[in-house]
Amino acid sequence: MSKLLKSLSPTTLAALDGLTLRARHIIEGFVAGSHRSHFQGSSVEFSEYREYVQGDEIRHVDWKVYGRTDKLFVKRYVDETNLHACLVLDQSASMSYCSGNAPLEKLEYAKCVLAALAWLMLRKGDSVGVAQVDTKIQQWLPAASHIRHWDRILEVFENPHEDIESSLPNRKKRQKRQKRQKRGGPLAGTDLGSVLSDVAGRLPQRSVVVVASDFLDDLEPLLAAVEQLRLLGHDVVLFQVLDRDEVTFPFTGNVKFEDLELATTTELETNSVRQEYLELFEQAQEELTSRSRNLGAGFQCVVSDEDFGQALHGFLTSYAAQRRTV
Amino acid sequence: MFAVNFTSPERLWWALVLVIPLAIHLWRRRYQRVVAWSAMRFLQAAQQQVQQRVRLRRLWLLLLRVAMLGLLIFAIADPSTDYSQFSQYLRGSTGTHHVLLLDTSYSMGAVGESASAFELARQKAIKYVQQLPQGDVISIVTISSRDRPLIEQPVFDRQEIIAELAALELTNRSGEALNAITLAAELAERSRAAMQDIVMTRYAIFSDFQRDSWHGVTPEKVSRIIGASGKIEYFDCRQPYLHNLAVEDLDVEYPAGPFGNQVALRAQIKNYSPTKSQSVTVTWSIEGRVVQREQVALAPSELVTVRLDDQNLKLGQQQAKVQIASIPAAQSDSLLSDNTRWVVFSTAAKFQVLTVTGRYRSEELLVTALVPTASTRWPVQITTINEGELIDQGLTQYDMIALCNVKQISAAELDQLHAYVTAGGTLFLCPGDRIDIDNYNRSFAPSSKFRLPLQWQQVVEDSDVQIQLDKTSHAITKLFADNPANGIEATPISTYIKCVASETDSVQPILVLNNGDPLYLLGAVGSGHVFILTTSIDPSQKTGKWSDLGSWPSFLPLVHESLAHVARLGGHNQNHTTGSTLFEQIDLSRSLDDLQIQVRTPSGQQKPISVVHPRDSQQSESQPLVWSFSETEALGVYSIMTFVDGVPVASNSHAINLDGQDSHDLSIPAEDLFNTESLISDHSFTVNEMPSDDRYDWFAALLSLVLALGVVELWVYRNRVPLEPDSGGQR
Repeated sequence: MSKLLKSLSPTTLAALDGLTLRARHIIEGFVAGSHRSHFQGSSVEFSEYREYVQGDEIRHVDWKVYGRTDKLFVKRYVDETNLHACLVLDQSASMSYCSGNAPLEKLEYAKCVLAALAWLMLRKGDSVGVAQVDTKIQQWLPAASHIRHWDRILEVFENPHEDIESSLPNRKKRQKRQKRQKRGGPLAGTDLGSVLSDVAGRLPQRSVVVVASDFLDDLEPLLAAVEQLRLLGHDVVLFQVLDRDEVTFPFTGNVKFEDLELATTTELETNSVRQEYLELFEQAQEELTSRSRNLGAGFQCVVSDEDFGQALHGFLTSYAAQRRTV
Repeated sequence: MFAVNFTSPERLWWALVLVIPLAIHLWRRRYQRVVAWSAMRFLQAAQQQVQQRVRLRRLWLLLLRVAMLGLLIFAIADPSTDYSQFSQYLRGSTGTHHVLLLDTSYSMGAVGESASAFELARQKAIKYVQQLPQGDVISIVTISSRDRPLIEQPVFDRQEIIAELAALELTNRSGEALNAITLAAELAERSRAAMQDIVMTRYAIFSDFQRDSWHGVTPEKVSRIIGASGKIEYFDCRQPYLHNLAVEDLDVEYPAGPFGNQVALRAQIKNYSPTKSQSVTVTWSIEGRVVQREQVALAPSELVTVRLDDQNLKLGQQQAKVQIASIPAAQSDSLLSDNTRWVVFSTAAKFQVLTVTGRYRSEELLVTALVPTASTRWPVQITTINEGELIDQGLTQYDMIALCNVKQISAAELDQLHAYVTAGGTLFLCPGDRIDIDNYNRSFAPSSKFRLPLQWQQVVEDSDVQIQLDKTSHAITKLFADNPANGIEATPISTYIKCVASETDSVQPILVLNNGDPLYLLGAVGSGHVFILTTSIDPSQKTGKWSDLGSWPSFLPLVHESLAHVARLGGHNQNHTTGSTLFEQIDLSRSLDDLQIQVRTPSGQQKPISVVHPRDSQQSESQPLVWSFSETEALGVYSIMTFVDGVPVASNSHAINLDGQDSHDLSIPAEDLFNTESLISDHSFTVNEMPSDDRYDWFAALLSLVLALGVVELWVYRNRVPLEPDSGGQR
């Protein structure tokens, strides 16, 4: 079982079920709040059947199918106001960082969160698409709303593009990367600004774009892309995943830091730069938070050693709260 | 001015460990840990902000650590700073008075491996002076029988002191260390009183610490003498007396008595080596002419007596010398100054006797004893005068003056006789029935000039008295004691003058009667002697004979032996130790205006002796006029020649020999002589270690500084953001 499925273990899934109930209300509220006008008095186009689950409205039960099959199915209609989501996963090298205390790399963590979010949305009948990006869209999975789409989402998450090793858990792979750099090959860097612009072009309709990244790069291109998405009518949610080390910078002594994305190194005495690093980091976080909110984008920051179920709940809660204020 | 000295300079080699912090600093800059990092943008931005500060901090830490280690090494080398010169500069005066005590006793002539002890002492003293700080003053005192310092007034000029040291010569005296230390302390006290800037005195002693020179010295005495304001430092200049040979003594014997020309010279030679047997050549010289040479073998620590019998001496004063030399060469003899001795002695030319008679023929029996033969070759010549002529007689030419039944002695005569006796003459008192006992008491009693502790009492008539030989053990009566058939105890004695001697040091009984009263006494007065008979030998007494002593057969040998004894004693008048003052009474019968006296020293140098005319001198004319000569440092024979109008009229010799027992090589450990609390250092001496307040020891201050720097270093190192538990880095 992959780590992802481990993360979404029965225990976690059971927890998510509870979360699903709560989240569905939040999401439905989100959906209702934003597209109420489309529901008023209009017939809807049948979309598909799905099995009845407790809680579904009885009026949606297709009795004819019941008469034929003795099984309860509800009709699903194409709802022009159903949520379309695009989950953008930053698989750049920086997302591969994992400190000793965290159970998961940031990338893995983000995958868990996005997978959970995808599941929630697919369960609700929303369509979810996935894009794995670094300097460009490496993998693009168009949105679909059937539940089996989730497997494909997991497959995408679990099988990154072979040309790019976004996770470099060991030195050998880093050395391979450096050799590739020397040959002029591509690096697992990040260019979210251009990537999101590309994503914007691929979205057929208004969607919720959830971007999972560490957002450690230059903010200007990113925010510019977010603004572009917002102008196109998309909702943007920025889900930042950080490692505890990045937040606290606990290093001591003299350390040689190698950039995960670029072939640069920096040697310094960590005690002497800690305070300045934290100040700069905090400034960047504040800027990201405030400017993303000013753009009407949702923002949630989690640390990879936090329980991701709660992190997801926090994200949905804060997103819904942010939506109400918009 | 601020010279820094190190007690343990070899520890400064530990400074090489200073490379350790430098190496650690460089090594630590090698980054041991590599972290693949994601938020490089922030890190680089932060680094740019703190780069300058980090560099400066690193440099400070390196400097602090190097400084701490360097100061610690400096501290364990135990540095001290002598700022005495600065203090002196501020005070504008000297701080220390250095008193050098150099041992110039003859034992310092001992040669060890190379140079003699004295040369070693001289070199050490010169080096000591050369290393002294400018502004210090220096005096020199010699440890020999002197009563004045060599350089008394403290001197600034080092060259002057060094020149004095270079010119210093060894003496032939033994040392008087306690006297020298006392002298030095008195000198230091006078200097401190005269020169207010002197704050302390340092005594530097250069000696071989031979027992003969250092006897009586104890730490308590030394501490008491130098007090609290002085410090003593000693420089051991001992040279091992590897093998020392010495002539310990040289003496003269008169086998034939004082009237014969038979002389026997007796020398004692000692081999001081406890391990090595020696053979020496003994050379006898008389009047500068070698008369005998012989070889003598000595076992370790053996004392050998060698004799020279010479019967062919001319009459008169003679000088003899005995000298030893080790065989094969002098390498076996550490000290050479004790290899020679001299002696001056007399063989009788004419024994001049003046008899002063109180009555006709009262001298007759004495003259018979003195001149028992009519032979013209008999060396004794008698001159007889009556008592009224005594005052007009010049007495210096006589070897003996006999007062035979002289009634009274006038004051002038007493002065004359006293001068004669103190100058070395022999007075023979023969009483009789005429003498005035009170006058004799006044003349010879303890209260008189003669100061004889003898009281003449009354005439005693007792026919039962007789001489009892075993009541005395005088050397003069030895011949009677050795000859039982001598018969002296049978001498008839019926009358004598009872005399009582209050003490026996200056008056010794020669013959004593059986009732304890003395019959014949010998007193010492100055350089001369007084023989006193208590019975009469005057054959012409009207009251009858007091005794038959004058005609008894024992009387002649008694008189001859008495004179032989005096002759032996009288030889000491001519033999002295180095530094002694030679003197003789001047014959006033000669005109002083025409008189010249000269001394010829052993080196052949002629030195005139000035004679002060009585009318120009402070003393009374009745006092005897004596010339004196005290420059007797050199060993050997000094000849005193008297000239009248340029014509030599008299010659007399005196021998000067070594004093003391420095040949014995009995050195005292210096630690036994000085209180160790007073000592500055042992043999190694560093002038810069001034035991005064003008010296600062840096050890404690440096340690404090190291600790302070350590605190600063800790603060600089720890002055950063508080650490989180180190969880950095990827798995």
